[in-house]
Parts: sequence; C-alpha cells; structure tokens
Amino acid sequence: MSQVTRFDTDHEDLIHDVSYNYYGKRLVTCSSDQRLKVWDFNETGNGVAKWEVNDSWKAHDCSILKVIWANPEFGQVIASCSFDRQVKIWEEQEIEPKNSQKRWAEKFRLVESRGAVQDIEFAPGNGSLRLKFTSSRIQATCAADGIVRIYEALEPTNLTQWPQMEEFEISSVNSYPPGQANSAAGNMTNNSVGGGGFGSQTQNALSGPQGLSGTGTGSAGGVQQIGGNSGRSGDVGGSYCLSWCPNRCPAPMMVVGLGKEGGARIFKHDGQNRWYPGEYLPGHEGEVHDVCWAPSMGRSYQLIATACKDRRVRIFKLIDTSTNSHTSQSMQSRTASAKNMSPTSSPGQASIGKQFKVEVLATFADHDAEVWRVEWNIEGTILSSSGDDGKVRLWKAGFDGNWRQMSEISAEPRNTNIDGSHATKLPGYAQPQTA
Amino acid sequence: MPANSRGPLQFATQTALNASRLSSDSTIGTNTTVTSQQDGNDNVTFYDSPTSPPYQAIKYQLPGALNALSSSPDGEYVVVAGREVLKVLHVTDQEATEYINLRTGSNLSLNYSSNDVKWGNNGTRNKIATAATNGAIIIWDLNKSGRKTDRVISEHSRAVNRVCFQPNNGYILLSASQDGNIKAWDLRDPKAAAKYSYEGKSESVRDVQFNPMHTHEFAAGFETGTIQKWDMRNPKLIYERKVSAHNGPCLTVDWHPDGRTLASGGRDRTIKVWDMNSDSRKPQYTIRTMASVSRIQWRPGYDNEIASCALLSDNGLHVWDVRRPNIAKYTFDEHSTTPTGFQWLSPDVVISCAKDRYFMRHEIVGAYKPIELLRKNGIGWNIHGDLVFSIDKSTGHQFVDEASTPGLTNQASRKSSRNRTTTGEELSLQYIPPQTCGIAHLPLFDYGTFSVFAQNYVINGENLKLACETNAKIAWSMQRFRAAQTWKIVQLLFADVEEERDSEQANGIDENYHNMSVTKALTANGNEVISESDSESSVSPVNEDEKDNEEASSSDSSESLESPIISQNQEIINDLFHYYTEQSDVQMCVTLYLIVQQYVHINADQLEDWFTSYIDLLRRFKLWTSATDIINACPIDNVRALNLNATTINITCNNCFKLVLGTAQGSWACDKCHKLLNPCSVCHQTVRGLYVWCQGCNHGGHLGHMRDWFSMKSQCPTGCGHTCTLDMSTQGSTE
Repeated sequence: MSQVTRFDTDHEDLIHDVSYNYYGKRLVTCSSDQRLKVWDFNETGNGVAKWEVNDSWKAHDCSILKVIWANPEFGQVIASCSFDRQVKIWEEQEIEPKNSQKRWAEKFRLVESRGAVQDIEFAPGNGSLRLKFTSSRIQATCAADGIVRIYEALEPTNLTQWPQMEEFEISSVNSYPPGQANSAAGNMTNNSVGGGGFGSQTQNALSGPQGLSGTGTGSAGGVQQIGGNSGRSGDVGGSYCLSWCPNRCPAPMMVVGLGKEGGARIFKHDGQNRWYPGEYLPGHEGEVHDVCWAPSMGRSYQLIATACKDRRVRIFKLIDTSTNSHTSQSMQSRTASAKNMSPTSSPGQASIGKQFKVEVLATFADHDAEVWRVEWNIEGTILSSSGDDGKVRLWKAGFDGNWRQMSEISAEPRNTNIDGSHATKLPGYAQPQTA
Repeated sequence: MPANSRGPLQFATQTALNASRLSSDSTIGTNTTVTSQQDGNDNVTFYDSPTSPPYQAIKYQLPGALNALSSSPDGEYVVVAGREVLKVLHVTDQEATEYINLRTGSNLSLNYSSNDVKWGNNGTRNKIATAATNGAIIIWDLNKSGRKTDRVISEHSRAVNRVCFQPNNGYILLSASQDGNIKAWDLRDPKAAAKYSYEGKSESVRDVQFNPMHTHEFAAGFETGTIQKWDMRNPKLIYERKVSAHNGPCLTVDWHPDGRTLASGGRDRTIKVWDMNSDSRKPQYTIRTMASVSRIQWRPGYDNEIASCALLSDNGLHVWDVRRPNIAKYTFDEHSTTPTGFQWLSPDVVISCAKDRYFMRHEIVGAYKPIELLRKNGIGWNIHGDLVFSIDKSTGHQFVDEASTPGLTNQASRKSSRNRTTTGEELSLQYIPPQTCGIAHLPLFDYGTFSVFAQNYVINGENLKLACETNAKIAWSMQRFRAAQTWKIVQLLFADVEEERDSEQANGIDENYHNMSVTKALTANGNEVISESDSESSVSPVNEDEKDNEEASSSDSSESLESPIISQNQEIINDLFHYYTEQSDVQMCVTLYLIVQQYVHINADQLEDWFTSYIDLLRRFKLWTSATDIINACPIDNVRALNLNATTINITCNNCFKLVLGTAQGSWACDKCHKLLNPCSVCHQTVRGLYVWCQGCNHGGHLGHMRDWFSMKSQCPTGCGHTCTLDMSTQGSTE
C-alpha cells in the first residue's frame, strides 16, 4: 500500500538533504543547523520496525548542503559538504555508544575549496573510493569559479588520506583536446531536439563548432565579469551540481550543472588525467539546481534528469552514437564472451569516450515553482522531483513511452494519527495486483 | 563589462584627487554644521524599484590596509584608519571621494598606526579619536589649520584596542586597552589625565561601548571571554554585572538600541545576545557563524538583526536575524579579504573597510541572500521503493515568520518567556522553518518475489527443458504469469532444437530488435496467433500479468519449429530481452540469458550491464549467495573478476600470533611454536572445516563437536572454567 509515514527529524533549521544507505536501512539527514543525524531502521520485535536516531552531532560550521553514504564495502562511511567550504569524511565508531555525539568520527576534511561546496558524490563502481565535489567560489574576485575536484582514498582501509586526484573548471570550455572539439560539436549538430518549444533556441546554441566555441567564450566572459566584480547579481556564484554516470562505461563521465552559465554539460574523462567537456544539455532557461544520471540497468540509452530554476523538470535521453559500429560487429561475431570486450575497452576507444545524441524526452512545468531536486529510483524507472511548491512529484514513462506524472506527495498532513504517522493515498497511482 | 567595472572606480579616484586638492577649511565649516543624526532613506529608494540594475557597492581604494572606520554624525563623511592611512572621505550614494588626508608628510610614528578610529559628536563633532598600537590615543581636530593633531594621550602602557565617545556628550571618551584598563577622558580639559580608570580585574580589554539609552553605563568585552557592565560614575565598584560569555576571547560587544540587550562576539565563532537586566547566565540567542567574530553591530530599525564580520578566513559581511541563528539573512561579499570594520549609516546602508585597501559603501539591495542558494527540500530513494523526502511547506518567502517568532521587539513575549525554563525559552525564541519530513512507501518493487526468484530460479541451462519448466512453475506460484509464460515460450522454442544447435548457429544473426519480419514470416505460415504474441512483447503493452492466449500461441509455434527457424527464434528471444530490458527487469534478462546462452548472442556490453545491475540489486538485498552464483555463472571476465579479488585470508597461529605461512602446502602447524593449529578442544585434531570458537575464552573446535558439547554443558570443554554458552541465533543460522 502506498502510504506516507511522517518522519520527525527535530532539526532546528531547513533540512537540505536526506540520503539512504546502500541497503536502504539507514538514513542520514543534514540541515542548516550544522548537524548531521544518522537514523537506523531497527526491528523492535513483533514485526514492527521504526527509525531511531543513531547519533546527531554538530558536523560543520555552516549550513550542511549535502550528505552521502559510501558503498558499505568501505565500512560505514558518510561524507558531508557545507557552506563552510569543507567536505568531511565520517566513519562510524562501533565502540562509542549511540547518541553520544561521538559515534561518528571525523576521518578527514577536504579543505581545498575556496567557496561553498555545493555537491558531492562518491564515484560509482567497486574497488575504489572516489569522491568528487563541486564548489563555487563565493568570493567574487576569483575567476576560478566552479571547480570540480576529485579525491580518492588510495587505500580504502585508510580514510585519513584523500589526495586530490583531478580537478577541472566547469565553465572553461577551452580545454578541448584538439580534434575532439570538432567531433563533439559535430555530434551535437545532429541533435534532434524533441519538445518543439526549444527547437530554435537549441539550434542557435549548438550550430556547429562556432556555436560551441561561442558558448565557451560566453562563459569565459562571464567569469571575467565576475572577476571584475561588476555584474554580481543576486546569488553569487550560482549553484553547481553534478552526478556521476552510474553505468559502466569505458571512461568515467559525469553531468555537471553549469551554475550561472545556465544549462548542464557532460564531462568525460580522457583516460589519462584530464576531463574534457562533452555534450551540452540544451533548453534550460536558467540555472540548473540539480542533475541526476539514471541507472540504465542495461538499457541501450542513458537518461539524465535536471531540475532548473526556470521551474521545469527535464528528462534527457542520450543515445550512444559512437559505439554503434562496434555494436553491430559484436552482434555479428559469434562469441558473446570476453573476446568482444576488446572494441569497447581498448585504450583508443577509452580516450575518445562515448558520443551521445541528446534528445529532450520531456519537460514538465507542473511544479510551477523553482525545482530544486531530482532523483531517480534505484532502477532508473521513476523520477522524483521536488520544488518550492512544497510537493514531491513522481514521474514515470507510460507504456506508450511518454513520461508523465505518476503521483504527487504534498506536505500538508491529511489525517494525522496520534502517533504522528498519517497515511496518504497517492493520487494517480494505480495499485498493482498484489501477490 | 570588465571595462565598465573599472571605469567608475578610476573616475572616483580621479575626482578624489581633485577634491583633496580643492578642499579647504571653509568647506569643513559648512559641512560640520549639519548635525542631523540620520541620513534618511531617500538615497536608497532609487534602488528599490525592481527594474533598476543590480546595485553595486561603491568602492574606493586607499594606499594601505584599513583597520577601522567611523562616520561623521551626519553620515556624509567617513574617516578610515589603518597602519599607514588616516583619511576622511566624502561619501554620497553615488561615489566616495577623498576629502582630507590626515597623514600628510612622512610621519611614520607609531602613534599614527591606528587600531581604531571614532568620530566625535556634538561638542566634538569636528574631532576624531584614533587608538594606536603603541598605546597612544590621538585626538584630531578637523577645524585646525595645518597639522590637525589636537592632542596625544599616551597613558596606556599597551595597545589601545577600542575607543568610544559617549553618545550625546562627545567630550567623554572611553578607551579599552590591552593593558587591562578602561579609562575615561574628559576632552574639555586638554591637560588632564584620565578622569576615571576602570580595572576589570581581568585580562586585556578588547572592546568597550556606551549604552545608547543609559549613557552612564558601558559594557566591555575581555580577552578572557567575559563581558562586564559598568556604571561609569562608580569606578570603585568593580562592575555591575559580569557574564562569562565566550569560550576564548570576546572580541566585540554592541548595545541594542533598547539599552537593555547586549550582543557579544568572540573567537569561539558565536554571537551571543544577552539581557543585561536579568541574572540569567544563558544568552537569549546564540548565532553560530563559521569564523571568529571580530565586529558586530545591530542593524538600526530592525530590532532582531545584527551584522557581523569575521577575524579570519571569511570575507563576508553578514547580517543575521537572531531568531534564525544558522543562516545569514544577507551577505555582502565584495571584499577580497576579511572586513576589519563596518558601520551602518542607515537601516539600508552599511560602510565597510578591509585589509584589501578598499573602503566600500553597500546597500542592502546589493547583498545576496544565502537562503536563496539553499535547497529547501531533499529526496532520496532506497532499494525497497521507499522515498524519503523533506519538503518546505512555508508559503511565501519570509526569512522569519514574525507571527510565530516575535523576537526582541515584543516585550510582552519576552516577559512571558522568562517565566519558562531556560531551555524552553531558547526553543520558543528560535524560528524553525515549517518543513515536513516523511517516507513514502511505494510498492513499486516486489522485494518478496524478487528474492524468491533470485534464490530459486534455475540458472543452469544444460537441461534447458527442465530449467524452463522449473522456472515457469516458480513464476506461476508467485503469480507472475507473464514470466511463467515467457519461460514456457522459451522452453517450447528451444527444447526441440537442443541437439541441432551446433550447425544452426553458423547462420547470421540479425541484431535488429524491432525487425517485424518474423511476424510476417510466421503469419505466412498460417499461424495467426503468433503475430499477436510477438507484437505484444515488442510493443511492451500494458503490464497486466495475464495473457490468456499466449500459451496457446506459443504451443502453436512450437509445431512449426524447424531447424531453419532458429534464427527466427533468435528474434523472438531478442524481443523478449528487449522487452525485459525496457522494463528494467534485469533479473529476467540475466536468468533468461543464462538458460539460453548456448543459442543466443547478446552484445557483450549489454550483457555486462545486465549482470552488474543484477548483482548490484542482489547485493542491496543482501542476497549474497545468489549474487555469488550469478557471478560464477557469468561468462564475462570482468564480472567473474568480482569473485576473484582478495580471496586470500592470512591466518595467525592462535598461540604465538605469528603469521602462518605455507598452509597451502598442507602445513597445519605453526612455524614458530610448532603447535598444532586450530585444534578442536574436544577431539584435539586440527579443524579443517568450520571452526567455531568462544569470543570469551578463545577456545573452540569443530562445529559439530561444539554443538554436541554445549547441548549438554555450558562451560568450555577445555576446562578453562569459562561459561561460553552458544548463542541461540548463531546456532540457528549455522544449520
């Protein structure tokens, strides 16, 4: 049965992020009250289970913007990022009692950022514990605005060493390796953009290499402008966001919201130590507040969702155009096993990475307020979004392939029970036949 | 735009030079006759219209780092002071220009290296007091011709940290010094020594300030973290009230205009608000900032708002609402170093200076609001289809809901809250935004069925017919009729051709999932029903679990199965895979592939995606055994490698704790102490299988022996006397 359980966090200010662990049995919440709270789903017997505070502690000196769990193969580890320009790595100490404020020990702090750290995410995949985060330089006199830094715990059993591995600037587009700029741009010219409303604008932005470099200089100008400290308006630095590609691919990729520059762009690793900008996700008419790359679960295409200041949720479909030839080859070759791995995992291929055709699958204006978060479910089949309208909306592809709203969850409690929980029937959600 | 941004600045410097050249005593005289305290708001209104361009702070660069500033009583002139600078600027809402340079000549005396500067009032409205690092206090008279130095007081033995004129009587000056003394001076008597001296019986004094309402009172902040309230008429009384305010030095104090509330800031990164009339040892409010607080000032006209700047590391000038102690309401961030001094000129105008050599005049419309950079909601999914969310249900964009949180203005509420307990008081005073947190349980993922399938599906395709039949039965019993039908179809498709497979696979395989030729081909055979089932799986129809005619159609198709049709089987299989991929049912994809892998060819990339996704799901559900089975059955090296990592476990001798080497060669004795490794306490043989031991006494042995022993006894079989009864839960799980 679909129902909503109230979850009272007792935070003393806005909660900015909530996050389940890998198994979905623990939660961590972070808030502007500078505290992190970890919750355990404890079986209390009689088949009843409830969420109990594991610990709550003052973790940062400013609003905590995001908190994430590491894969449990590295232990019970969380990372948090804050307006205070730091990222901290925490590990649970089994010997400390619960609710002692000492249960989670600070293992390391990453202090390289000179602006608020707005987003962090552990890299997907097994074996390596990589963390990356974006930061924006709030201080306006710095041209290095919006840097993605990537850290890695080289020895996963030692969480006190996090050397910075790589970093790149979000807004500098001049870091194209020669030749790839053309191929990427050429690829983007082929974009067939769905949702007619964006057609003309997108064509302008993406018309060939000039269009692309145009975006590049535009952004550089923007940075300079900030550097000169003249055009500072409203929210400085803008909000940056990122999401790793959670799916297996020859070289790591991520999608990054471009902050004040508007829109979002895919960045790809070149196989050595450089990141270069790839496809641009078109159509945004404002800052992108959040991006989320969907798990593909073996589907032939990739989905990326964005939450934008222009009050819209967008879903982009990325169709791999680079490996089609290889795909057909491998389909024709007889063995389905390891021999076929060579075309996609060869170094040459990895350095180029995947090329995508970007389509706008859906644009939703239902929130009619700034949208702040988008998040895919584990299978990448349902998108949830939340915005200033105080509602969480769920989106799902129908059987005709069109995405539409599945249900919405609003903040108003309808019938609150004495124990604080209330059941809300989700409208528009068809109950499946239960087993 | 960059050119534009430099433009006004250069212009300003230019005019500043002109102004300083043209300045004369006569202009000072006319200006200083204006004594109105408030500048008024008319210079702000222009920027209030929403269509106006974004406000930019007025900037003026000075030749050296700045330590402090103070505005003239009329707000038109500002004196800025630093180690090498002492200048009076003329500040309008358009520009800042140099008016007078008090550091003319090459006088490098330490007397002029200013820590603090204050502009006098009323009788001393033409005078400026500066506090020097060498302990000197210098009074400057702007009306004096030539050298403006009026008087040098050097009575303090160490640096003077702060000076303060008495409000409404500018002849009285207080000075706070590093030597631990506060001294009061009457400037009407040009020769006299300090009129009073107040010894705080404490460490160095960091700040001192007169109470704006009861001007005989003043408050001081000390390096020990205490704040003290004095009555200046009673220098012999130690102090009227003392509060241990901060952990570490208190760096700044500021009286609220109500004359009762005092705010203090310290190196412990907090701003605390005290009711100086009450005896409470707890602050009314505590604001936690991200850096040590070096200066604070209440915002005029806004009873609950206070501005602060940091001592280090934070370049922002923040305006806080005391009821929202975690998020600044406004932030000015134009300075490139930490601001060292600031002052409100009006409720909407603040001037500031910093070590970056800039003087700036900010307006509140030019500040940014940190709250607008913050997400007001969060969402997260877990594997069970639960969605946790926190959403803001506040309507509108009020920073603080005035109705629910009255703040300092509402005296009635202050009185009522005083009756409550101290903790209750703090709670009622803080604004907590109305945010709802909840967990939506969406039955989108049937965990039960998934795990039953994961544990029971046959994944070995050697006996394809039997495997399909078993899987179909399992699916049917879980009421997954569609899955059951799929297994039946697969069974029928492949059962008959099992033995012919080798010759058939040489045929080319069409990779096109959407190729409908199979439908046409089969309809040409006169089989009409198959087209329906085929289109069903390729178009991904409504997710109803039952399709009655499916079995019938597939049984029909089996009749027409002949060896050349195996390529068409391939297409049906491809359609099946395509359908289940679109459904994100990697479980079905993987299991199906493992069963029919001899007959079908799937792109290796796709295979790896299926397997990794499925293994990840199994692990999330903690179905380790199933995950291992899948990994072992997988034909892809990358996936198999998952089970080949870190498979060696080093063991140590349980006597001497030396690392045991050579167990692979069958050595079961320790190299060092030559004792048998892991002997069973019951049979005294080395345990080569499961070894269980007591965590208390470290004795153990064969699982079976231990179980037998402890079914009768509760003490250790070695006779060590330890009572190591087996835990019932582990007993259950080992079976």
